[in-house]
Amino acid sequence: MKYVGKNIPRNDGFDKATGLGQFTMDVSMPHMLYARVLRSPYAHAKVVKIDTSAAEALPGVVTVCTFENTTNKPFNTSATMVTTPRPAEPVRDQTIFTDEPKYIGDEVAAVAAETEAIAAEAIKRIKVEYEVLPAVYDPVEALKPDSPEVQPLYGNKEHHNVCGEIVRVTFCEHEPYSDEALERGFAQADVIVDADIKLPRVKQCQMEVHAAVASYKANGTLEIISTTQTPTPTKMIVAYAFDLPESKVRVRNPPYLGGGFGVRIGISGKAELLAAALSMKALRPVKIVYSREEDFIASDTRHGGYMHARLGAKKDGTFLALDTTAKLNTGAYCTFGVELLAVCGVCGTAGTYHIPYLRYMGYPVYTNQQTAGAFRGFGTPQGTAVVEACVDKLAKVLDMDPIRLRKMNTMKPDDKNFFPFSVGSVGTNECLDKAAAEIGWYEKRGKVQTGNKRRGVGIACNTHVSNAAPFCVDYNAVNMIIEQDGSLRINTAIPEIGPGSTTALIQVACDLLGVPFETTTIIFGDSAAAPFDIGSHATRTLYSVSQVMEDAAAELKADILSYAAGKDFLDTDASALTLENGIISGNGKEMTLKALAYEAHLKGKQFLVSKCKVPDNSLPFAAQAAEVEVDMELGLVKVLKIAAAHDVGKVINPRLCEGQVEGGVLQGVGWAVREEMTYEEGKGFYNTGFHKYMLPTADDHPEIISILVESNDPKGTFGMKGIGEVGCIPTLPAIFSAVEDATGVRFEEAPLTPDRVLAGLKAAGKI
Amino acid sequence: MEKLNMTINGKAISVDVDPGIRLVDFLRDNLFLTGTKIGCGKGECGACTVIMNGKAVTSCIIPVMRAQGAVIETIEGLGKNGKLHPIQEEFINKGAIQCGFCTPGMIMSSKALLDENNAPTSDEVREALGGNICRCTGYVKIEEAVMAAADRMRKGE
Amino acid sequence: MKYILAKSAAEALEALLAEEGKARIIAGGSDVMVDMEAGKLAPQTLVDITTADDMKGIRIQDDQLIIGAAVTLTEIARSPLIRQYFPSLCKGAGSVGSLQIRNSATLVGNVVTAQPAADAAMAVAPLDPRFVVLSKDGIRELAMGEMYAGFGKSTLNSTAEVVKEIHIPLPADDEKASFVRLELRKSLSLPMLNVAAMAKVTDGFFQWVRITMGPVGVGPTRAFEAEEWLKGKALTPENMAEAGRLALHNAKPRSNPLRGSKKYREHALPILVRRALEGIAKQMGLLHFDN
Repeated sequence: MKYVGKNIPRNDGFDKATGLGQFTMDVSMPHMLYARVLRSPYAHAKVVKIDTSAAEALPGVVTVCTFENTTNKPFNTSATMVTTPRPAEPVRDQTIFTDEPKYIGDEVAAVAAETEAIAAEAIKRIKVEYEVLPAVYDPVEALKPDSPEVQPLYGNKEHHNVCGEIVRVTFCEHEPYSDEALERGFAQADVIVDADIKLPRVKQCQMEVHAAVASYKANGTLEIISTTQTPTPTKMIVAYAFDLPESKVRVRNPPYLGGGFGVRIGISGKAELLAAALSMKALRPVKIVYSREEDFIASDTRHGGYMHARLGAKKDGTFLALDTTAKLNTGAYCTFGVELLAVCGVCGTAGTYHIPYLRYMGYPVYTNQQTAGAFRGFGTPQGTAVVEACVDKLAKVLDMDPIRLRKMNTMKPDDKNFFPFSVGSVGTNECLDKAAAEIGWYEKRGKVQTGNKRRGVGIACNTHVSNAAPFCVDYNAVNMIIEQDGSLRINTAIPEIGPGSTTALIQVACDLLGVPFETTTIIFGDSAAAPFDIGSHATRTLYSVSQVMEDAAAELKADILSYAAGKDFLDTDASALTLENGIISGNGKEMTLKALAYEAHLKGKQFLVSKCKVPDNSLPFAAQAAEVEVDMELGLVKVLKIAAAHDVGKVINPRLCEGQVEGGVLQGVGWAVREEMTYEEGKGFYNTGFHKYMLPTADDHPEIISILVESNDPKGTFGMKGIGEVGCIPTLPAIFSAVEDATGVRFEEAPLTPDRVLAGLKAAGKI
Repeated sequence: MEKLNMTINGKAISVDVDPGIRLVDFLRDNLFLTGTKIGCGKGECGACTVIMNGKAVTSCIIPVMRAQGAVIETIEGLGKNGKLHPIQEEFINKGAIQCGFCTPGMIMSSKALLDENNAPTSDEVREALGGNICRCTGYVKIEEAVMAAADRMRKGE
Repeated sequence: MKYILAKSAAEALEALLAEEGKARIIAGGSDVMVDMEAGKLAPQTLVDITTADDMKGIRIQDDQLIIGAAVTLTEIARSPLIRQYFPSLCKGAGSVGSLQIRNSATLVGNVVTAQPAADAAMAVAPLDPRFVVLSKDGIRELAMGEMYAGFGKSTLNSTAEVVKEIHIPLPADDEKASFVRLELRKSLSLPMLNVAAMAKVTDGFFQWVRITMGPVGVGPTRAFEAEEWLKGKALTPENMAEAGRLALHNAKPRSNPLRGSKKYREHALPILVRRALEGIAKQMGLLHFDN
């Protein structure tokens, strides 16, 4: 292979290093207006009266939108709107504006004005009279039948404050699953351990806030430039919400967006819908850019909540049964509630190990807080956190080395399991060994220490998926087009949210087809660029689009070679021809694709293929080892090093791949030790900006060593698996394990703030 | 409106500005230098970092009139005639760029550091970049890129 | 809005007085600009003192270290002169915000904004600084304790008074200062707690000590009881730990959703005070371990 496996610098590097690449924030349109939003100051209230006249009277104000003059057709801002397979139905529980705000920050009204300052002033002049209603904030509280009901219209009819449904993931290796069978599994166990962990809400903190510019024209067309990481589903949601034909709506990135990490799979906060609603009234382009505070308090977070698991095993360490319960805080609206709780069970509890009896119950719970939705890992980190805690506990009870215990139980390629597709290649044990070696496991683990500063090492492993199929709708299309000079253009609606997927995709395409990288281009991030594309999420972009390109490139190559074999050209048997580096050759003859493409053009032919495909799926495996230092008297945990070993199947671009691991790891570190959204009743979330939210900075991060393991997956293109989300998943349990090694205390709540650690050390009598 | 004289990316300009705006708004809205990004508006993320009289500053907390007589460098001023600055090249080569939103600010902070000290220690690099948040990379490759650029700048590039 | 770039302290004062309360001083701007953007401040005129030549520079004059009000925190953190006499002030100044913030923010600004845990203000607090203030009534000098009127509230009126410079008495050879910070993150964060101290130590005994702590009250808060108790005591680990415990008597920490509960801060404050004193002992060559 000429390109796959090479450190090719990213194709968008020039645009981004020079500041010339455009982001939504940089977009300007002629005659454009600026929008601001009025948000509810109450966690739950009824709007008794709203008076917008003073705002409308302000010079420079063009439009004021509220629930009174804007469509109230319910929808779901997440991509589940268009990816929920039958017989399930998406939970459509949101409207653009509401007369019954359900969290502090809920959208009540918006203004479009000639300047941002005027819009901001107009917002202050909207008079709203609220009747404050009872609210509930904690998922366990919310599940109690006497707690206030958050979504009387759309909540589960049998289970109080459950959104959608209670998700069950069950598996039984030797008989059909039943709860009795599960208990039979536990009954065979010599040892049963259980673990709890309470996890915080954390925020994606993508560097570009949510933003959209919408331009609706009176001829019925709507163009939106925005920060979405899924242009096509976003187009479908917008078209649905406003009853517009999908053919008249176009959603694109400009073409860059400042990160995503899941926060805008579907609508960016509500930016696209707010801008569109205002534009449809004003008949002028409208730009909305969230403030960082709005981004923090009024867009999806990671789900926080409560995880419990019990694990049964034989005394030799063989796992027998695992029973996990998740009660996670979905917030005021469902968004990804149901799907995320499913992935928590499937990838977080059923994928890493071979477990003959398994049950998972996931409760997505409505509360009067902002919505939780997708964030790198999508439920798998929560499941992994509690399962790995159980595994460590079992190792302790059985007095076994935690790595040995893991290795004997990790999923093997032929093990029966829950997944509806084959496991493929498995590199977990190699990852465990390599992470252990890098951290110095056998020299450092279990050292008795007496000083104030103590060190420890820990480890955890995990899996995830390489896309959402077949659990959710997941497919995409690409157009591969040979330009008239023989250069390749790939059109896809998929966006580039940062990983460098578009660069890696060109590497794959060029090797599949046999054309040079230098002359190949990819057009991306535009719902109008190609047929349906589900977008950049679920660790799928490179993996899934590559699979479609395999089909497309094969057909395109066959077309090119058969045309070249014609008597006007090489006049030979097409099967004898190959295409490499843009040159067609065989039987001692050759010509360039460049020449052929132009000759074809002169005869009215262009080589082009449009392909669409549901991808196969592969399980990426990983293990990470952590080393920490704990200042015992202050409860201060410092993460010194993370050794992250990842089974990526096949490395397409080492540097880009490492970048995914390193970035993921640091998000995992933040989640484990510092990051937390703290709710203050009556005020809302305290964390309204970066100095109130402790994500890691450049002078506060551990050493991160990424180790890429190639297990050559039988399904992925060239053997690859996904990597995008995996990096952040095992970090938290690895750090908790290391802190336990250092202090003797297994903590059950994240993040490990000094307050929490000190209280834990005191409670355990360690200080 | 007040008269503002300054040097921007090597070019002296004299313009009328609203003295109540921030330097970042002037750069983006008046000069259309949108390479300078806004990530928080409070000096807490570094996305709007520019170099003012040789020092890295967050242009979202600098009043525009403070640029009176100042020499300002933005990301658009780096590199000459289509040739990138070594810092820009190393950011690309080393994989220090992902989503790219923090990149201009990150590069400007790096340039302010390396202009002053082209043989920084890793702690000095971390201090110089401590005010530039990146959520994508984990900072590993950014530090590598700055070190690689320093190497080249020491060799006179 | 009007924006005046003052050429001198006197010109800055004159500009303020001419606007009769509608103008205010802006130095680094790291707080003023954020407050203006949030709509909390809407001055008609800003008087920028960073261009005032007589407010720049760090110098020694008559056994005093003089720091101009327009001197940035970066200039302080990197000043060889300050490092020679007060390395703890370099450390405190170097702990504020981020390099970009420190490149424009000032020490005086860090004091005048009156936040109780401002790192640069904390580091300067035990050094017995005097703030030279210009107003329509002439020039006066204020001590550290006279600068704070309440949480986030200075005794100075930024629409009518100008701090020109800070005077700090140079330390004798047996006088050392220290600064410690308990942090969740190095950059872009306020500390959970910070403590600074200065002491005169003769033959291993404290002659006098000044300890300041935050955020445990209005501005940097003196640990008077601990200071008094330490007088004449030897620099032993036990004495320094006891001083830490006594420091609590002058501290009223509150709970913060991010930077520590009252309970935690009460636990950690004595440790920080002890570590600040150990920092002094270390500089005197009386302590050889690193905590």
